[in-house]
Amino acid sequence: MSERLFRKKRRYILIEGPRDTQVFEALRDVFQRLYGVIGLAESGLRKVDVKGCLALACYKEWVPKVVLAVSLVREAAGQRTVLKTVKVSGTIKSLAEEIG
Amino acid sequence: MARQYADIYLRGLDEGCIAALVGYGYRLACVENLSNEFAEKARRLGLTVIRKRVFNPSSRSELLRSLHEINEVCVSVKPLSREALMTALRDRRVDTVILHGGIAEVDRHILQVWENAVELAVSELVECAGNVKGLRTLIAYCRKAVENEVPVAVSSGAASAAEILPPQQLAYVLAALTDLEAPVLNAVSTTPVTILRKDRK
Repeated sequence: MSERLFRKKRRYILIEGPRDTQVFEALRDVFQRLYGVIGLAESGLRKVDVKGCLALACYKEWVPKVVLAVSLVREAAGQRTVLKTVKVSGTIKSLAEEIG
Repeated sequence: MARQYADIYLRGLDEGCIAALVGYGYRLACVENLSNEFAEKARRLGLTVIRKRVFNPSSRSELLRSLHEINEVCVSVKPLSREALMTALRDRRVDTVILHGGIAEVDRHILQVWENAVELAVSELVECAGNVKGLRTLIAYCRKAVENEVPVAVSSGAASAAEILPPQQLAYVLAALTDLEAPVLNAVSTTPVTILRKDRK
């Protein structure tokens, strides 16, 4: 259902690891392999920049699935990469405070 | 009282691993290849480390032979056959049964003998992520365990400091596989802590 008709709650996930744009591409690939294009569309997964750090935005009910995809990323741009979540929050402001 | 977090499966321990574990708030860890020097260093930083033995038996007799010599360690079994799996699930000397992509499919016979806790290591999940059948079996075990209130512990299975994951992230992994919205924090605190604090002689 469209976000404009029924307001869906979003969550923001702060990621520790390389800030490369290819990291998000790698993560999106893993997520798409796990949940398909429909999952990718329904989750509302997108990249957010919080004070230069990588953060992800998705709908609340998709948070565990996005974190699972984050945990399964082992390579980005040909380099070995392990991504870690720092914080899950309902606001970007709270993530910015976490970064300091 | 604050939660005590435990990572029940690390393949090795060095200074980087100790710093990462302490940084993420872990109080307990279970390590496969553990040296006394690093165990002592970890203890000084408030991290209790327990030795772990992992067996990969392909038959019942092989598992029973391995269990015969075990003492004072956390015993995990990664069963390579259905026969070994059924023995591992019911033998009281086994602390956890490690779920992996090649594990036998869950059925009512397995459910009947299932007594021991199961362990979901993220490293195993990464290995079987491209194997649809393996992933399906693994998800079925996680769901059956949650449904039947069998303890499930989630671990990183890390071989280096970079692979150690925060406890909340591990808790979300189990939530994703069992279709829950909230992180299953018991899988990284109460369950592994109870297993590791078990009286061993």
